[in-house]
Amino acid sequence: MTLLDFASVRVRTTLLPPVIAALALTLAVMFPLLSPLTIRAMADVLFAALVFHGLISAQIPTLYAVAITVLSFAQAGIFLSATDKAGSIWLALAVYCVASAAAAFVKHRDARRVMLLGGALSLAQLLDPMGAVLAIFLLPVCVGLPRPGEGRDKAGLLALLLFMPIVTAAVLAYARGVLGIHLTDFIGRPRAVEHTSLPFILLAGFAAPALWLTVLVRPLRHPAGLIAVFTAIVAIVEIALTFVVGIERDMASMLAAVAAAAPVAISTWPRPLQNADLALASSALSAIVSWLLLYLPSAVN
Amino acid sequence: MGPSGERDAITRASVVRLERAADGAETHIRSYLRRVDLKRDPPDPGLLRAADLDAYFNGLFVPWRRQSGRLVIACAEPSPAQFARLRSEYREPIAFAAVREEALLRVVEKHYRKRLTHDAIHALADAEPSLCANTTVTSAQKKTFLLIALCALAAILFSPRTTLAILAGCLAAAYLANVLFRASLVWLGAAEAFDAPPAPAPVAEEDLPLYTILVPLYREANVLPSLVASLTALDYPNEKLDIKLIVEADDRQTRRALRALDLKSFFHIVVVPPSNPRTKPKACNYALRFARGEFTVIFDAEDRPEPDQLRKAVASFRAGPANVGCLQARLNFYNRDENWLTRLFTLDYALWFDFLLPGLDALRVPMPLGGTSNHFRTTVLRAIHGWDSFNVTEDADLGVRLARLGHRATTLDSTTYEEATSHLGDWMKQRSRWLKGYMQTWLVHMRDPVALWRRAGTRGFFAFQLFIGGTFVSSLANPLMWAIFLISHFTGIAIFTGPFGEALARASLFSLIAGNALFVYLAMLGPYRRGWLKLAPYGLTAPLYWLLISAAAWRALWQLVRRPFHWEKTRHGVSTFEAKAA
Repeated sequence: MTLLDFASVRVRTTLLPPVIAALALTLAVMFPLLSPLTIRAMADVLFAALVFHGLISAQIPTLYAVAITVLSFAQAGIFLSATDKAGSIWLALAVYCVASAAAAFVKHRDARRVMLLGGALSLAQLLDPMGAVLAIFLLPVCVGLPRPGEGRDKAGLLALLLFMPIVTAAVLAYARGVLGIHLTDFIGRPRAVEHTSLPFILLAGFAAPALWLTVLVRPLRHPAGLIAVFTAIVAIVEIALTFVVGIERDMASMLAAVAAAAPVAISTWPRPLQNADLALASSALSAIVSWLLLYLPSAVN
Repeated sequence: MGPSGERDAITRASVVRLERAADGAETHIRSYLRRVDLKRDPPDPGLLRAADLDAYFNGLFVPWRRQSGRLVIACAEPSPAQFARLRSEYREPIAFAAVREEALLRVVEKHYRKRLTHDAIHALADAEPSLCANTTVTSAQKKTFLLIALCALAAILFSPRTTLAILAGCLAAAYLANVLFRASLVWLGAAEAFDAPPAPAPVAEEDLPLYTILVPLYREANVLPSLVASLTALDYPNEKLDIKLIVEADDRQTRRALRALDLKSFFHIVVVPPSNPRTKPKACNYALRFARGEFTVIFDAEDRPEPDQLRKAVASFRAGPANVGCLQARLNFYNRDENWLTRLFTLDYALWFDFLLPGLDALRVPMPLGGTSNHFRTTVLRAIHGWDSFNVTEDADLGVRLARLGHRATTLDSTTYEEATSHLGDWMKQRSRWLKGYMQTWLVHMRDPVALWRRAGTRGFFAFQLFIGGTFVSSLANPLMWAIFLISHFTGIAIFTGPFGEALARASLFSLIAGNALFVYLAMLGPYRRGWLKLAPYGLTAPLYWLLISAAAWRALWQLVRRPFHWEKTRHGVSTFEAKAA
């Protein structure tokens, strides 16, 4: 018997968006009043809820969605970030939000998805400064996939997509420079517990087989999935670049960023019912590989 | 009755014969009936009953005279069904005669002109005085405002800085609430086809009902040819159109131009006698008495509705719930690329009609209607006493009134293209009128806030405050907030003091920046649905446009005090752009 035999189990998915919204709103509004432990716990729950909702929305059977969500947390980067041992769950949240919003935008270019993507890119800057870089790298690719009749108006679309991230960057700069408020300090910076080296950072991509499958297996390929892969690549490149210029980054952050993009890629796979086992297997493999990658530097040293 | 009498007046036996006739019975009947020229032989005034006025207009008949012991009823659209109905109503020997529709309407109108004029102006005030804007501010409202002002003054004298800080904080909170509400509406209204329910199935040709189109005209002779062309281009059976071109009696130029046009038989000219207030709603109310359609729509003189709009409206009415009393079609502009003002106006309209109104619709709260392309069930429109002749945004008021009286207004996925005012002076007059009308509407419906709350519901009540009240309050407040920020920033004067001074200052600054940024963003998003993305970058200049709106808001406030019912006419036909639907 496989999990597919229980595929008829359904959850009331309509309840999820309001729960997620309420959680995010509480986190945003009550932030200064909550203890760090509560904040992190809420961030973990929020991340899990987002991943689960994304999978359910992609018609992946409920039990598979639960299993993949749990396996996401078994992935080394997410586990360490979620338990605050290393890395930062905020980075995972930022990558997930941007990747899923960009994938949704590629699928349905409606006004809601434009707002979502702009909002995700703005939020990413608040959650992790890397978000700004993501915005710059990701948007040209998103708008570089024009639909019929959109070619002439690409500048308008670009202005629309970039407006929110740019205003957020300006507000953050104003708050920091004029008012002396460091908004990102409230969230906490990724901590470098497990020191690593550049080759291992670049190897982090192997910790998410779902991303490779999305690129290499033709039946699984979809432009929205490629955007999720691209988001992960941008995250790897950005962390590698910051590492090269001397900013210490840890392997857990790297792995968390990659792991956050994987469920988004899975959500874009066609025929979710048939590919559910593959998604589950890739998530399980991801958990194993990520732990190997995490301890490989120590073993090598 | 002799042999000639057989032609003069139809008998019950011949009606029975005609009822058995195939299609075209009406033509058949006409050939039997005696023809009467009402201009030469007007009806006996003693036979007319004021209580039957609407029946005369809707049924197109009038009791003419008594002859040979029979009451002769003149009919413009004789039919066996009508004969049967009239026989049962009058319960006396009846004969029928045929008349021309125009002549019948004219003679009844002439007889009841005073009554019709009174009703056009005062029907709402007579039936629902508390919902009419003929009094701008009631004495109870004056006392309340005075009390609030005195309390604020006393607080300022007692503790000026704290009071001003609190007031500024409240202003900032209200401003942010308004922005966030609009952003929520945009989100709700942004549901595209795959999220939204599918369009209703079209109605079969033979099931299409008679449709009345009201077109109020005032000094618009220059746009008449294109108006007639647009209305003639509507994809709707001609015989089921009842178009009323409404013209003021003293507007000789337009009347002359109308006479010069070779109008088809479904166009009817309604002349509104001179009376005050001289407003569009009064003219529409006057013409509404003559409306014969199951549905009624209002178009402006320069409107270019999409040809299938009436069919879509019928399909939506038929498919929708019975309590939908009105459908608001989307409005936009055909001359959007004329200049900066028309581009910004287009962003404004696109946001309003493509996102905000559908958002209100999704929330099921009162929806202020746009000035044109409102499709009504005629019975509902009459039941709520038509438009408020004293409200200069009678459309917005009507939307709220519909909700208060248990009807729903919803959006129709069809666009009417209009002419955007391309001259600053015209734009300022138009916008001032709109904002003055929103102030009037807010004041009218806030005369009894509890009643509004009960009838519109909690959600509807707050939506009304944020959408109607928020529109003019944010326009009035925007320059004040910027002034506070700039004075504080450049002079170093601390506006916010006291224990929460710094927090209040930061909250206000956040409200101002986030609010304005969100407004700019929404303006940029406005044209997205129509794919007019090249207009999106112009949204970055929206703050300049808001300065103009704020100026219009303060002008509107001044006018509300000085000339509350004055209708500043918007010139049409000014644009040099070729009229073309996008």
